Amino acid sequence: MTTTIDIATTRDAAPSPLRKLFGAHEFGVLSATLLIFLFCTVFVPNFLTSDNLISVAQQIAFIGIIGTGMTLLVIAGEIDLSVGSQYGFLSVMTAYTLTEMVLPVWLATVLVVGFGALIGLVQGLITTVAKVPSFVVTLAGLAILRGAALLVTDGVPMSGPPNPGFHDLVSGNAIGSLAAQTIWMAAVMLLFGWVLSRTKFGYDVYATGGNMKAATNAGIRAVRVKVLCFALTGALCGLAGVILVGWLGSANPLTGNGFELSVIAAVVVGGASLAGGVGSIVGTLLGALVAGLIGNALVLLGVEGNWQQVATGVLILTAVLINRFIASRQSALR
Amino acid sequence: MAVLAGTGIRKRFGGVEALRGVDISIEEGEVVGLMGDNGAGKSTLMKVLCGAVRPDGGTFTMNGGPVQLRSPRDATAHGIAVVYQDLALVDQRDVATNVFLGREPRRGLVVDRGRMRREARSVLDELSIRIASVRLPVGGLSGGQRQCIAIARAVHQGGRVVLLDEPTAALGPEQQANVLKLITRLKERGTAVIVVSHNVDHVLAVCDRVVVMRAGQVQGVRDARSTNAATIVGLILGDIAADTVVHTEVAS
Repeated sequence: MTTTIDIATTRDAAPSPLRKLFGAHEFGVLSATLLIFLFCTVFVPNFLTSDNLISVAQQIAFIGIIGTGMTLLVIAGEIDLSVGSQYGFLSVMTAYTLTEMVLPVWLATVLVVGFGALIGLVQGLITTVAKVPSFVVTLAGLAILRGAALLVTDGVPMSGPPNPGFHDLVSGNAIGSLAAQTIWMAAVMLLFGWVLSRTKFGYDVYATGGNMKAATNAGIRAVRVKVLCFALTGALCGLAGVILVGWLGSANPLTGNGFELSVIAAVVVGGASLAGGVGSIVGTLLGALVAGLIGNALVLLGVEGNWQQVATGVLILTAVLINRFIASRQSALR
Repeated sequence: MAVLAGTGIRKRFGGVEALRGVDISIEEGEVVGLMGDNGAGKSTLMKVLCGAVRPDGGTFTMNGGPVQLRSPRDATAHGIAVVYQDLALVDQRDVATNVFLGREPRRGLVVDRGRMRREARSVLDELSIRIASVRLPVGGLSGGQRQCIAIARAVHQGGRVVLLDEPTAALGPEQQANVLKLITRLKERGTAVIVVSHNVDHVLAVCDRVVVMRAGQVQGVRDARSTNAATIVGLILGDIAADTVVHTEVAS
């Protein structure tokens, strides 16, 4: 009896760490991160300073927070193109609730995050119940919410109230000189990284995106899983909006214009498959980091800002090709 | 006593009567082969038995007690599990996760992955299914292995009656043999198995009884040991007259 157990445990034993590393979906993005980091260290002046690295970590915070929701959504087999507009609209809503309605910060935060979840809920229900592809639903959402943000503000930035406590909470120096945004991102990613990889809900997300019919047959409420992922993405857009307004002290209705591109880039570069069923929060963090490092290097090298867009596009393409190569190598190994 | 029995099952789709008063029963540890030409009503009968299609008429009993099979959830709750032809596996996930799909064991809020792997392995061992590691994604496994994992899930999730839809179709000879061996293992464990198949040889090899359907009715029921392929094919094609005991059309 003991011998069979021994055999069973060795057969199913975890692969060696090295093998695990090379086989992981995140292997491509991890090597890219390291390569870019090394390249920047050697060739980019002023790159390897704590101030610069801290500012990179601060810049990717918003991509990381919203990208966390997007990761779950993409793994569940859907996509949200409206995150940039949600981010913008909810920033405006934050400023509005604080300055016009003079609500306390905690209440405004609850309202904004709740409204973000509601936006996601509506888009999720239209996608799953009316069976309109999420690509189309959220494309419409992108236009509607941007328009709404511009209408509410007459197209001019809306200032938030001066509130030093609020400012410190969302963007002060948290640990040493590490910005609070970075800590917020880390908290969000840790929480949902755990949810995704360890909890029943996370398992359901992977099953739903991997094979929705199989998930449904197995008793998983796949529609509910998808709608929850939409709502989570919306709620995190709200959180990002609150943090932004606390940091800048104002909300520009054009906030997050084109931001969906950066977020989806981080998720895809991080190894998630737009077909669903594959992806991870660690991957998205690395994806955001790659984008952040490239952007940072281009700035430090004095390259014209528009090249950053080109770089993002090239990055997405390269990442998808590398992931495809890894996938084919993995199936060849079997 | 029959673990599952259906009497006078009728189902109409618009103008087509897919099932015209079908009786079917299966004992514990029995393997019943369900055969018939395309459109004979096999698939509809399977869907009725697993709760996916609601019949217009007929009654069901399990171990003598009446049951309602209104939804797949009902059927699952009664221990009726179905393995579809497309297997319903999540290719990107590993073997253990697929065996437990939708019913992962938990420790507090967290999925108990260690227990999942151990139990998945013990189910595979019990059914003599050979898989190198329960950590392998099922997308990379062979068709036969995938079929076996789908069946293992049905059994592990409490299936006392397992419905198999074309389990050997699209498999190579060696893998077909493995799946047939697995069906025999299920029988030895006391699981009742209903196999829908077009392959007369496979049905005669593993089944105790063969139920042949034709035009929405049971054309004939034969003991697999005392019949031959020619008789079964004759029944399928209608060359051999229907058994007189067939449940005749209920006045509607």
